[in-house]
Amino acid sequence: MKQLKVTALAIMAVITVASCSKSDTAAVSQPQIQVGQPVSSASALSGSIKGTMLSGQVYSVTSDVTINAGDTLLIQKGVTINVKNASTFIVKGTMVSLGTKDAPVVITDPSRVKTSGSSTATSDSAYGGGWAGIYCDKTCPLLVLKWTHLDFAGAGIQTIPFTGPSVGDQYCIYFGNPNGNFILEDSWIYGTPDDAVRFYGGHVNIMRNTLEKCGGTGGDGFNAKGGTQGNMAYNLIIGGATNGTKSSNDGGIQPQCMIAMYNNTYVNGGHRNRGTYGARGGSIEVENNSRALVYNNLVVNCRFGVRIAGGNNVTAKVYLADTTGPHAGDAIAQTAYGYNFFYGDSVKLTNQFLPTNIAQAVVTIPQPNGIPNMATFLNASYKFGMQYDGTSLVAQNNPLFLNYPLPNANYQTQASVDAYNFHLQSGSPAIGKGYQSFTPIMNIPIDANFGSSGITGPGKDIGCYQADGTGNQH
Amino acid sequence: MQEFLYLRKSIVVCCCLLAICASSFGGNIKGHVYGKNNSEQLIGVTIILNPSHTKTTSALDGGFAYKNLKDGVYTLQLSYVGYVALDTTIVLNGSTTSVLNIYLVQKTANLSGVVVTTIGNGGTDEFAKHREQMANSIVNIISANSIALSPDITVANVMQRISGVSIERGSSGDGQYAIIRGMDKRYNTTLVNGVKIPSPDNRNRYVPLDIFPAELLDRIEVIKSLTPDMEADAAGGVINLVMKNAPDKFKIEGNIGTGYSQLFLNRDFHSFSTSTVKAKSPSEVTGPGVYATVANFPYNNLVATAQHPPINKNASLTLGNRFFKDKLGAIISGSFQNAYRGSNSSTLLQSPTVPPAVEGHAQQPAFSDIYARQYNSRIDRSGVETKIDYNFNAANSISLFATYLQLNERRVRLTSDSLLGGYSTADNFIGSYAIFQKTETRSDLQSIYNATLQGKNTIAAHLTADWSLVLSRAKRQVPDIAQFSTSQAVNPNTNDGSFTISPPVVRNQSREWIRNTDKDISGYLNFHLKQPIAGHNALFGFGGMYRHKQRDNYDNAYSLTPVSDPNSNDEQYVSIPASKFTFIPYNGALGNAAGNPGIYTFNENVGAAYAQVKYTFTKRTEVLGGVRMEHTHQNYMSSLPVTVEGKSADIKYIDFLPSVQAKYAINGKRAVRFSYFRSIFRPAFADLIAFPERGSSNDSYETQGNPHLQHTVIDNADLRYEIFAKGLDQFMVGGFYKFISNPIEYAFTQSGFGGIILSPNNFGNATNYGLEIVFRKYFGNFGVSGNYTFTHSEINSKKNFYYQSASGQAINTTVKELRPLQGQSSHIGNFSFLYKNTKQHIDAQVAIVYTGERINTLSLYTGLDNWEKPTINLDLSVQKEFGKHYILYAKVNNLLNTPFQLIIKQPNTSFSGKYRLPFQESAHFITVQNDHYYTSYSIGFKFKF
Repeated sequence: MKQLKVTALAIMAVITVASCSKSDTAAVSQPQIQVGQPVSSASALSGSIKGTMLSGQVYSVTSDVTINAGDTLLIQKGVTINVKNASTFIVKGTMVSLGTKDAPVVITDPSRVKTSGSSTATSDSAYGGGWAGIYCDKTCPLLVLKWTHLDFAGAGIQTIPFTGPSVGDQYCIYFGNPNGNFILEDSWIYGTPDDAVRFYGGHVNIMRNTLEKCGGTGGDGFNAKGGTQGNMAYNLIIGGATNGTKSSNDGGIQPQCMIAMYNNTYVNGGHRNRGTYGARGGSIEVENNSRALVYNNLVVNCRFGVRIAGGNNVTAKVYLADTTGPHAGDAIAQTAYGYNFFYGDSVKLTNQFLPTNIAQAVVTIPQPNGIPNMATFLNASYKFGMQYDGTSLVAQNNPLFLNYPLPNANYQTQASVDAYNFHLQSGSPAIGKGYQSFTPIMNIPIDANFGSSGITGPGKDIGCYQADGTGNQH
Repeated sequence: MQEFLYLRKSIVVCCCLLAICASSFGGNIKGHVYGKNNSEQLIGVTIILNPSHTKTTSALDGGFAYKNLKDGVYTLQLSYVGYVALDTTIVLNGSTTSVLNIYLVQKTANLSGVVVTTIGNGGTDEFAKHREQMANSIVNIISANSIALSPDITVANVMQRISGVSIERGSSGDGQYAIIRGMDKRYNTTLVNGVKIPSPDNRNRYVPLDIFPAELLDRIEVIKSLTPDMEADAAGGVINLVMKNAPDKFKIEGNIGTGYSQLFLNRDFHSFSTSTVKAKSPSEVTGPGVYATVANFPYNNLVATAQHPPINKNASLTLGNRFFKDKLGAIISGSFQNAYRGSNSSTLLQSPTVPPAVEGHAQQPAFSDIYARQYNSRIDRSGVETKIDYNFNAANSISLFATYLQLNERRVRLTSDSLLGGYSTADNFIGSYAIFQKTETRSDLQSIYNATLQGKNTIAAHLTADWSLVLSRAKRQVPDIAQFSTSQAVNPNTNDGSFTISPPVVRNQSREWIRNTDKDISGYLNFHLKQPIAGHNALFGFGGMYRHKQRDNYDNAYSLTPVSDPNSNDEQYVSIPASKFTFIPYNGALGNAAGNPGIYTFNENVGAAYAQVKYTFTKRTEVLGGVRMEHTHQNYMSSLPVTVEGKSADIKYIDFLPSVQAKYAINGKRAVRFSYFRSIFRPAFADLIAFPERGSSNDSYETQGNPHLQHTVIDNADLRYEIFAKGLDQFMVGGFYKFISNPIEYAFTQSGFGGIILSPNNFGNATNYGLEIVFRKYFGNFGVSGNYTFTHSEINSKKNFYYQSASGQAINTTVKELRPLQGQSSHIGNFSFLYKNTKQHIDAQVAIVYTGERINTLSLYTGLDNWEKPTINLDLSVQKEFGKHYILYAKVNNLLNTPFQLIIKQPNTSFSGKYRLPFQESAHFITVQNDHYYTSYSIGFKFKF
């Protein structure tokens, strides 16, 4: 709703500008908010920190830093934080990073350099883990990251920052408060050895982000466990080791894990998941008693399509998504999916548009409303998990990206955006095929600084980039 | 059946023939030899009939016989160690039978003022039984003779001949831990010469019994009821291993033997080179914070080579003598064993989560993997012990016992791990979607040093004291547990049930260093005061002990990631030496020592004081009663950061432990005993520390301690009726009752959000009660001995139940479940059949051990506990003596190749049909583990001078 208001205001502004063309152009600065004392950039940071990191400053972190319970660290736009010695941000209080489109915040390991082109698990330092990441304890009420680059995180933690994580955990963000709010919007995560974000609970809004090279030899983009509810939408996820988005009620923490996954674009996902050979998905996974809405997603050259995990009563290692319902009053009344778009350049991939029972039973029902129409392709006699011949689907339904050639043989190793552009050409078959009759989860505060900038509702077009300019802003 | 009847007939015929022969020629002399003071039959008394100088020895029931003698005058010369020799004359006239009952008198030697009463050799069965009969508390004793005769090489295997004792075997098939009256191994204490020695085992306080070669032992005492002068941390019982003592005269004894396992006739033995194994992990060498290089992890010890192993070897030598007018005694023993053991094992790995039960149905387990494993262990066990005693005078004596024991195991574990998939194969098994081949090699080096100085002093006429000072160090090093793995994808072909297996790729390699050192210093002081009250004997005892115990534990693990081939995300497997590795993330090269909870120090101080009195009301009634106080103070500090719960703990408790033992002798041979005592159990150090430990406690699951664990307090009551008939014959029946508050049991737990782990927990209070029967009976050259224990055990604990409601909602709830205590069998029985031909000097024994079903591991979920199926073990031994000094022996163990099997008692949906799993036996239960150890054979030669 807020987003709609903002859009309306923008339109009015354009009209105003257009009608009063004689007015002076004035770039009036917006007030930056500040909490507590400024954090000095004069010396390297370690130990407990709070206050405000000031715009334009370059900070250096040389060992673990902790935001204590009750304290707040606010990072203004344009701040750069160089994190050395595989240090960790331990968040027991509040952390807010307020980058902007023009002046994003950058948190990185300065010793690493981004590379383009072919990327494999051990040849690319993106998977090596530079700094250790942001670990949020049960006492963290709020984590807000907007227009923030999180590069080269995920070094293995050497000591446990609090009860929960294990030594060797290698995530960019670990969020561990089922009652906390976690907002990750318009940001970038580049390179992690394991999951980019691991959620052990929380009200979350994960929207309009770009993920590149997440997971070395395994690991998901956004991996939500028990206690987590919220949205994962309008994200561009390229070259992830396993799934882009996943819900799983592991741990059984209340409330039940429910995620709305919509209008994401998944490119080249699931090819670096060594050894598990299909025990995990390659784009979207709903498993272990979790519920999800899965609509309007564009899945290109990923190892698996939408996987709704089933169980066979014997090998239920990862089993049975919660498909029961409808349960009125819940954040998601019942697991539902459709209007997803699949493209594959190999029969190995098209054979898994509808994932089959290799590792585990799958209960994804072929949908008549997606592209391709899997319900028609497989016909009514199809039973869950059966293998089928997808040869005729290879290289069909090119989604026509603005600048990314398809067919493309490099789908296993192209894991970053580089100079490509995954916006849709005007003739794309994905345009106008979105389904808009569902509501995202609204469980987080909306606020320019201490909340979400706005929940973008279901899109008209499939994928994260909308022809009308909404959606992912990268 | 036909054959059996035929056999029985022929035996009857033989017996008749013997009877006819016996009555048709000349006269006979026969009889029994007894000890004068206790009227027990003596076995092995040397009897010489003159003038023919015909030699024989008394049989198992003390009997002897000379047949077909001509009329005339004969003399019998009888001699026996510790008894005065005796001559007797018999006049034989006509074909009559002279029946003699001969009583030998015990020797009392007067050695320059030192009165040494030779009760007899502690290693004989007779001595063992005598001690059992005379003991204050409820004791079972197994003598060196029994050990020598039994088909066992290790102490643990000997132990299971004792009533109420069953055995838990390690992966090599050797018994490692005793379960007394079904109380789990953790509840039993091991003493050496009456004092505690620390265990090098990372999880258990008690010593693994297989560290002791049986040859070093004089006797084993299993004490099932505690008196106040004994340490209180034993609920099931105390195992006292009494090592050999200095003999009366110069003695040299030895043994040399060899053996082989059927397993390695069937398949190859796998071994690895230890030449590149480093004692310390890279970060200890360089100091913390330095990245290790891949070159720090040589491939050499990952390569296993296969061949038939050499034969097993064992040798032992014991020398002993007394000097300075017998005041100084010294004995030294050394033993060495080199054995090749192994097993084949199949396991279904259980998942931490289970599918919701369908409304109205029981919970069903879920499985993630099938493990097919081959274990190969080279075991080198050596021990040196010495005991020096000095008798100053009749009132004061001192002894020093020192031992060094070492058990080195070098193990190769080959695992074929099939990850279970969601489709079924052409053979109708659940297809696997990946197959891992894992080779793990490890060296497990354990050693124990112990020095015990003990003294006995007479302070005044009726006041005596004894004391002990004990220093021990137990060490365990597991340098470089190394595992190399490859994996292959299995892809089902389109709907025809067949599948395609891809070529193998290299997987992560793991290396881990573990070690711990336990140091103990303890002192014991006991006073005994003889002070008659109201004309009856009263023996007062009071004293105490103090022990300081310290453990240092270290753990550091590394994981190495294979280097991707160019333009690929995998490394194709060529060979182990050719495989390339790196670290991902890069700081994985630091290892995990920095914040590892497995790096800890643990201190424990135990102080105890007691007072007791033994009062003889009448000749027949004797009561021993008193109270003991034990104070425990434990603390530990681990390498966890201070911000995490459980980094350190300080634990204190005091226990007051009353004990009453009463004995009423109905007559010289029948007695009734009653005992009540309270005992405790302290959790092992690693049981308290939240450190997820891989591989060293359980081969399939991680094991993690629990700092909130409560110590266990047990009230024990025993009632026992005994008949000590003639000779070694014995009959005993007893009942027992135990109330156990806070028993500690191992259960499957989910580790946070990760995999399944085993963790110790208190699940409430339990009651155990039961019945015990022991019998032993000899008929001439034959004997049967056996024991049987029935135990009813009950604990009502909470279990998870996860089910789907009628509306389709998955609901997690808890339900109460009544079950026996973990490790508790309802039925345990041992039965031995003995043959002893004193003329031919042949001994033989067949031993059968039955262990009823029992819970091996608790599940989090209702109805999914892992039960160990009942087992019957059959062992055989035979020996032949040549001359007086040489013995040849042969032993066959595990004749039936009895499997170790774990089952889940739920209808087995995987027995047949689409979801069929391998090695399933029944539609009524699920087999989750099936291990075979195979028969082992050994032969050897002993000498004794």
